[in-house]
Amino acid sequence: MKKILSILAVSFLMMGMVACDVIDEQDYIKNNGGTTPPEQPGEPVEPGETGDFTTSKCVLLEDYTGVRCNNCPAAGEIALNIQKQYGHSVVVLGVHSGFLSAPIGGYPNFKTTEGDAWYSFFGFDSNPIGTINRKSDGGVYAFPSTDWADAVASALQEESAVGMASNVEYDEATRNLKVDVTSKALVELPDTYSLTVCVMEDSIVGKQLLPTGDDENFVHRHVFRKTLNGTWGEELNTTALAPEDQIKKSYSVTLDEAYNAEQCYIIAYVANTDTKEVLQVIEKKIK
Amino acid sequence: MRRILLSLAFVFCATTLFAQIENSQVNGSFQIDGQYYKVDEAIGITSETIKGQKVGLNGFGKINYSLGNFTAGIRYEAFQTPLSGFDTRLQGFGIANYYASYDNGTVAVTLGDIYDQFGNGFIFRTYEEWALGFDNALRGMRVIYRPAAGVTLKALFGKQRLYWVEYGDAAKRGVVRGIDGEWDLNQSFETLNNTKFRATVGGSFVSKYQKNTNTTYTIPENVGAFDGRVNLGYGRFAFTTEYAYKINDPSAFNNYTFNAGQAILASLSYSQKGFGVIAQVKRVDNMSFKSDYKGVKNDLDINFIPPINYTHTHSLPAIYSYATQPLGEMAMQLQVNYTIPKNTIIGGKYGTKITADFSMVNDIKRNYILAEGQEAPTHIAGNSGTLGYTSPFFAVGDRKFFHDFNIELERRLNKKWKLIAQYINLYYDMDIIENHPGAPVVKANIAFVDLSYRITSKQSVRFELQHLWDNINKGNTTEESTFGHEDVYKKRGNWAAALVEYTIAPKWFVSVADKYNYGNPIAGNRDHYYTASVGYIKESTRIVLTGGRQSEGMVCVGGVCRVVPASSGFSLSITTSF
Repeated sequence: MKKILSILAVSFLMMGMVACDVIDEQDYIKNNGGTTPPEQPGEPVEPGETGDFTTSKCVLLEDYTGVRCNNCPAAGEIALNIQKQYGHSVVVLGVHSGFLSAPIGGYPNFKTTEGDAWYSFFGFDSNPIGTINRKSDGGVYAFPSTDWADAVASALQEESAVGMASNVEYDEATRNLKVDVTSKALVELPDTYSLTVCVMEDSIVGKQLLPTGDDENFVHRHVFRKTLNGTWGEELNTTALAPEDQIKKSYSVTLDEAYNAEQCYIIAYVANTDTKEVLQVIEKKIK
Repeated sequence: MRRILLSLAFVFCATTLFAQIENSQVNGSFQIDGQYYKVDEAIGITSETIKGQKVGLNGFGKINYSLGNFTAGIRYEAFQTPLSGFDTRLQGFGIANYYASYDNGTVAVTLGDIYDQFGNGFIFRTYEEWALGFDNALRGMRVIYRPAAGVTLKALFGKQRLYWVEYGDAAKRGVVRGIDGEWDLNQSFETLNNTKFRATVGGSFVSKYQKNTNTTYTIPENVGAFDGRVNLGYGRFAFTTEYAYKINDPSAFNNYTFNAGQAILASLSYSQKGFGVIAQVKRVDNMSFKSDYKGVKNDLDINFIPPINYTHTHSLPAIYSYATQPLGEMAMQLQVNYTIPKNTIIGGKYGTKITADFSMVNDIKRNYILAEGQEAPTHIAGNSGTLGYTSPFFAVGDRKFFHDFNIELERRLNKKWKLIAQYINLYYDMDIIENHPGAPVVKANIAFVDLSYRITSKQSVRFELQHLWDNINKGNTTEESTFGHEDVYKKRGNWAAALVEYTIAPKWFVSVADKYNYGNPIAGNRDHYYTASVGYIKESTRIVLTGGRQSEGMVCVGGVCRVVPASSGFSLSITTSF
């Protein structure tokens, strides 16, 4: 019996020693040298001045958020920090949807029919939650905010399949907005694809629930306002696309009076019509 | 795929070669659950809700073959498409599990998919639960060695099942390896068998390895967990306890916090004829243990935290079932059973069984590690990239998650009539249990009577009447307070339910039932959920056809739960075994 107990004790000790990695507190966060929490939201990240085709891989990070969701501002900070890390390669869209986005009790109304349709389609039931290029893992589109950094890093490694270029003209007097988006296949694309063009308004000041209570002057970042061409966009092709095939789409709308044109951006993305996976996304400031 | 084909070929060859051998045995079982969904706008089911999914089908078939010391088996599963409420990642079909095992009494070796648990499962349990669509089988190898009477040593390693995701996909899960030893002293020392004393001791170590691909946090690639347990008995008394410790294990589930995990369960019981009492206490702190640090929901759970709550089977109390909180809970349960003897004034001619049970779950005490100027963390586990919090081991947190006090009476009134009646008082923190931030707490009283009448020796009829009184009703809420919170109020308010079931033993049963959420604060939710079922049973085959509406609820098995959305239509369930 002693022999058995000895074998057991030694086995436990050996496995315990080789199979446990205890991390020192100063190493919890990589490249940061300490446990300082992420910095507070700063100035908006300026989108790239597009005109030429953006052919390198860019990633759409959708942050499904709500004005009465006290955990959502922390997720928004994560999104902002990711965007700061990767610059123009990451486009963030803050979609207000779900029951915690309902504008009751003096909270602003950022809800949209498109956002609600996406929230429902992706099967979400709580905030904060996000999608990374709307890529599904066996039907699950949801990524918790703690996994966004990982998933974005991984998505940026994927091969770029579509190049995109845009031209935006805004007439201040008439608030007329003209948008041209050209999409170019970089590889053979066998399926059908759709282009969606959105208006995003950044840094809107309004009430938000925080873990510590209401903040009447919260800066809402990356707020999705509307699409210019339907909830799921406009179909680009019916037959397969060969490399270098280009498709141009143009839109002309009047910018809603409620939006501050100084803070508005056009976000355009090409997605697989069936799987909804976003292949490429670009962002351009209206003014 | 090649391995699956080889295994299949192996099973078929074995079947052919040994078909004549009398000792060989084949057994198995099959189940098909199908549902036809229809649009029912009265309960909020629109064509958009069902997304064109008119039919859901879940099915499995398993076959086991045994010959002497050798056993082997396979299980085929098909989800085309999964029933509403099951994880959509189940979509697909194929051979989900296979195994081959040899056991000569001293040594046992199993290759393939392994279901096992160490102790209560605090650091290792793999199991399959069809009702939840849950399967965390470990595909790998296990050796069991029994060197002496009463001593069992186990060693195993492998990768866990994650729906249909390829096992070779290293990014999706890590490797799990573990050892366990258990010593039953009564088997080792015969002299103990002449006493009232019983004792078993055990210990385990489990470790997972997964490569860190996280760009922000230094995720430990090897995470180990230790466990020790003692079961003691003396006469009618029994005492069992188990303690587990897990080193730093930051994950998406615990918001990438780095504190260690701990769990303890202790149970003291006494039983004699007609009387039994059991008291249990449990403390769980940061004990989610998954073989993928990115895992969410119940994905790739390596361990299992046993619940210590009463399991309700009637439909209204089951609306608010408690789901175990691996991130932290302080729980207790006290249950007393007493049978008032028969042929007494109170006990009646046949005796009366009374069960009283009280269980309560609070949060653990958490002293959060906060950033400068921060008043509270945004996640219950604390700030990412920190230790999260410190927690005094014996302190109980202020926030109550759940309580359940119930008293049940079971009495045969005469040769024909039998009565079961129960009163339940529930406290249910929907915010935590169902992850509905800001949802008001449910404080409910529930009562039911379940009355059976035996018409003849083969025919019987059973009636159920239930009522749930909720603290939030149509009378004490305003339109504004519910607006925008529709998800939270879907099942709130008073309920009444009734059921009649007629059985012609042993083959047929028919039942009709209705649940009515008449007190829902939102007028549009005051709906009837009526169903009718007919069932046919022949030997080991059971066929049940049900039509009607299903209300939104939770299906929980062992504290692990899945949300069942409301639906309307017909369902057919066929099970058989051989």
